[in-house]
Amino acid sequence: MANIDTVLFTWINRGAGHISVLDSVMKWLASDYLVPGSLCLILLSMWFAGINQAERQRYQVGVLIALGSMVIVSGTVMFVNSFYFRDRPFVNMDVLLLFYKPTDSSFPANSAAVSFALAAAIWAVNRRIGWAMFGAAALYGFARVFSGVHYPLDIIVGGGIGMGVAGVLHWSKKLFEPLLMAVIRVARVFCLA
Amino acid sequence: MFSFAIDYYLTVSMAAIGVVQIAAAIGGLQGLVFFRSNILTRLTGAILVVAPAVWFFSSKPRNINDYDGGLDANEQAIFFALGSLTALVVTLTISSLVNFRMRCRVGPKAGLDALENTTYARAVLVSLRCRSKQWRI
Repeated sequence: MANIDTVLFTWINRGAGHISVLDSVMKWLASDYLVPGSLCLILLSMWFAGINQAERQRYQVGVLIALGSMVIVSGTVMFVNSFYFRDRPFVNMDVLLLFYKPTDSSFPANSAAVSFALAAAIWAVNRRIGWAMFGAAALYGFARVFSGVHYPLDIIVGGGIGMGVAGVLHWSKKLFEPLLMAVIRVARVFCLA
Repeated sequence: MFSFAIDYYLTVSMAAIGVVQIAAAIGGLQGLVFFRSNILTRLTGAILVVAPAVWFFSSKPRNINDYDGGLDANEQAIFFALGSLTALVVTLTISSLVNFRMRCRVGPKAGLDALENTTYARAVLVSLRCRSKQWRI
């Protein structure tokens, strides 16, 4: 498995350094700010975007689940990292690096975990926007591999954790619906939900 | 780190104002938009999202480690939240001022739905007044 992962990484990373425009696009996409910031801005817009109260409330529950997923996913990745550390690809291999050298564990990719969790939580309430977010998360993951800071398996497992956590939270939302509705009710008093 | 954080905060604030304008236009929240024209609101929103992002990424190298002046995940989350909060305050203030002459038709609708017909300042005043009456009863 690790061998396939390394071969796949080498194959993807081999594309770097040939076309400067492609490298620049990948640097932007792999950035810590572009895709995560865009996904969070979509969450903010979803809070206001429904065309009636019922739709708006459904979206707001989705946004709260997305935020909860983000916190749980970050905690899960931290927990995994506390007993398993995987070196970044550039530590052991000859890599064309388009990015700075992160010092934290490569596996699982926190960036992929969070972005796929946000996408899955929104996909549950709006398929079209959810698919767009999945597309952005997948591009982000690919760009991180292309740039030489993650192995493909880091992204796949990170994405799986993210989607799993968001899925579990969504399917069990009845359990903590009173809490979500309380948050929305308080915001409604201040005309913010 | 400080200059980087300020740049990030300003970019998020501007972009968040933009996305709220677009979302308000889609949701028909007339009390939350800066312009009466739906197209102008969406166009302004799109410019407010794209322009700061282009400036942020093209003005300086942004792919830098947190110990070299970048932001770590926690700092990023904090500055994103602050930027969004600022955007919300700015949006609610400006929209309440520019829509001051909007006819006050606060009906049975509450929460964000009230902003379909009135400004945020009026809607929140009515909402809080209703609340205080309920508490007194």
